[in-house]
Amino acid sequence: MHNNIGILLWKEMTEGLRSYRILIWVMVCLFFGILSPLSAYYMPDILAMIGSTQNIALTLTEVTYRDAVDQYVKNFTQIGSIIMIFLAMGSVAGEKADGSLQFLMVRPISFHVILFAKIIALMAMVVLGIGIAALVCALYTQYLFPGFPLTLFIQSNLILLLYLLVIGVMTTSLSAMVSRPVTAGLASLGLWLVFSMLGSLGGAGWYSFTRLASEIIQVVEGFPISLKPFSSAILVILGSIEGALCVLSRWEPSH
Amino acid sequence: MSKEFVLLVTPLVVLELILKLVCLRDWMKREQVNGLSRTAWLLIFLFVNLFGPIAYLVYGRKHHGHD
Amino acid sequence: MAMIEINSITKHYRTIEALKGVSLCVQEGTIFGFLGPNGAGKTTLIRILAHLIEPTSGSFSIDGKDLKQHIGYLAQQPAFYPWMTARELLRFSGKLYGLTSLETEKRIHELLSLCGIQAAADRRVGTYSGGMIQRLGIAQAILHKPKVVLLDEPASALDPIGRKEILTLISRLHEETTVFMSSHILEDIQRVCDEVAIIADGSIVLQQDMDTLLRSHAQPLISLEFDHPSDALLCQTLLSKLSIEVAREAHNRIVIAETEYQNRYSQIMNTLNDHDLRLRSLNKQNATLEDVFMHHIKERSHA
Repeated sequence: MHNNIGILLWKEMTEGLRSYRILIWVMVCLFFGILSPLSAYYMPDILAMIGSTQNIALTLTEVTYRDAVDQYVKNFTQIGSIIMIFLAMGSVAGEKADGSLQFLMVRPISFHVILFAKIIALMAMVVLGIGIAALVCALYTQYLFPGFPLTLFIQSNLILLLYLLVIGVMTTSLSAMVSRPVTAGLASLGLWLVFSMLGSLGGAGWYSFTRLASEIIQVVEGFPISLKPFSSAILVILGSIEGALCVLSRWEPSH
Repeated sequence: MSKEFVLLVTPLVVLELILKLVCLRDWMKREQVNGLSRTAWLLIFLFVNLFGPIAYLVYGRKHHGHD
Repeated sequence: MAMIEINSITKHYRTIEALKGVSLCVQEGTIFGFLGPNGAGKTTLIRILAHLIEPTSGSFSIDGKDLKQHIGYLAQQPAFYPWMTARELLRFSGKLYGLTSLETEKRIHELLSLCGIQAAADRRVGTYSGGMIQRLGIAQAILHKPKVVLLDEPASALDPIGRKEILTLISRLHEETTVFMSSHILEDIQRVCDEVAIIADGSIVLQQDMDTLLRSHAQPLISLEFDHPSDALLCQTLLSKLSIEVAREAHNRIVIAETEYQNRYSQIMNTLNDHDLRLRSLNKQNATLEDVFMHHIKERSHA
C-alpha cells in the first residue's frame, strides 16, 4: 500500500513529461521570468516611442526593480493562474471521461492515494517551474536594476508557490468532482474570479487567498505581512481536497 | 536597438523556437488532430506566440478516445 | 468448490432496476459464460464484482473473501493510458498489485508471448488496434494471477479473426484461473464456456453446465427438405393430421423433433410414400445455444 504512492508518482510524472505539460509549464515560467524584468526596463522606451509617433509628451517616473517584481507577480498570478487551470483541469475528469480511471479503481488503491499522487506531482511541477523563473528573473533584474533585494525576492517566491498551489489543488479537486475537464476548468476559473473580486474589496477581502499577490510585494519591500490571506489559502486547499475525496468515493462509472 | 537589448531578448526567441519545433515535430508525425483541421493548427502554433504552441500541445494533439 | 458466490444482488438506478436479485455460484476452474441480450444487466453485475460500483443490496465473495487482489478485470471498452507502452502498463499494474520487480518481469515475459504481443511490447498503447488492445487487456487482467478473471464482452467488438484468436486465448486460461465472461454472442459462449447462466431483464433465467443444457433444453431436430414448396406444405398438413408436431422452417423445409421422428418413423415414411412426396435431403440438426436462448427469452416475453 505504501509503495503505491511511489508508482503513482512515476505515472503522474511520466504522463506530465509525455503529454508535454511539464515542458509547457517550464517554458511559461522561463518566459515570465525573463519577460517581466525586461518589459519593465524597456517600458519608458516603448512608451516614448509611442509618444513620439503620436506627438504626446510623456513624463515618466524612473523605473526600478519594483516594477520588474510587480510585472513578475502580475504575470504569474494572472496569466500563470489561467495556464495552471488549463494544465490541471483534466487531471481526474480526463481519466473519468476516457475510462482510464477504472484501471486504477479495480486495483487495490484508495482514492486518497490517487489524488495525493496527483497533487504531489503537480506541486513538484510548480516548484520546478517557479524555481527556474525566480532564478532567471533574479539574474535579469540584478543586471538591469540597482539595489535589487535578492534574498527577499527569493523568499517572496515561496508565497507565489503557495498562490499557484491553491489554484492547482482547487482545479485538481474540482476535476475530481465533475465528469468533464471543461466543466472543471470553467468552475475553477469562476471560483478564482470570485476570490479575485472578493480580494479587491477591503475588510473581508483580506481573507481572499488572491491577496497573497500583494503579500509577495510586501515581502520584497521588507514590510511585515498579514496572515489573513494565508489562512484562506490553507482553508481552500484543505476544503477542496476534502470535497474531492468525498465526491470521488461515491463516484460510479456510467455506461 | 542596442546590442544589449538583442542579447537580452535572444533567450526568449530561442524558447519560442523550441516550442514551435516541438509542435512541428509532433504535427508531422500525427495524422489526426483534435478540434480544428491540421492546417489550422499549423498556422496557430507557428504564428501565435507562446499560447499557440501551448494550445496545440494541450488540446490539439490529444489522443482520440472513446468520447 | 465454489469460487464465486453471489447472493441476491440488486442494483437500482433512479428509475431502472438493473439487477433484480441475482444469485449465482461459479465453481473453481470453470470458464463461466454469462449470457444475455444487451441491457439485461450483464455489465452491471460484472462492474459490481470488479468493485467499480456498489450493489444496492446483496453481497458476493471471491474464494470466501472480498478482495480486489483476487480479481482481474477487462472492461467492455477497455481504456488504458495511451502514452504508456504495453510493457510499462503491465509493469505499472504489477506494482499496483504489490508484485516484486522480479516476479513482474518474469510474468510480463510469459504473458507477452501467451497473448502474442511481444513484437509490439514497446510501442505506445495509443497506436494499438482493437484486437491488440483486447489481448493486452487479457494480459493485464491475469498478470497478478487472480483467482477470478472478469471479462466483459471480451470478443464482441472484434472482427471474426480477432474474435477467434481471443476466444482461443480465453480457453487456455482455465489452467490458471476461473473465468467469468459475459457476451451477447451465443456462438462465443458455446465455443469456450463450460457452464452458462442466462440473464434477462435483470434476473437469472437459468444456470447449467453447457452439455446438460444443450442436451436437456434443446432437443435435436430432424429436418426434411423437399424439392417443391407445395410438397413441404402438403406433408406438414398430413403429418399434423396424424398429430405429429411439425414446424415449417423454410418454404421447402419442415422440422420434426428427433424423438417424435423415431417414435412415429413408419407413419412418417408411409405418408411420404403414399403421396409421392420427394425428399431432397434428410438431416439431423444439433441443438445450439441459440435455440435454448431464444426459447427462454421468448418464454419470458410471453409470460
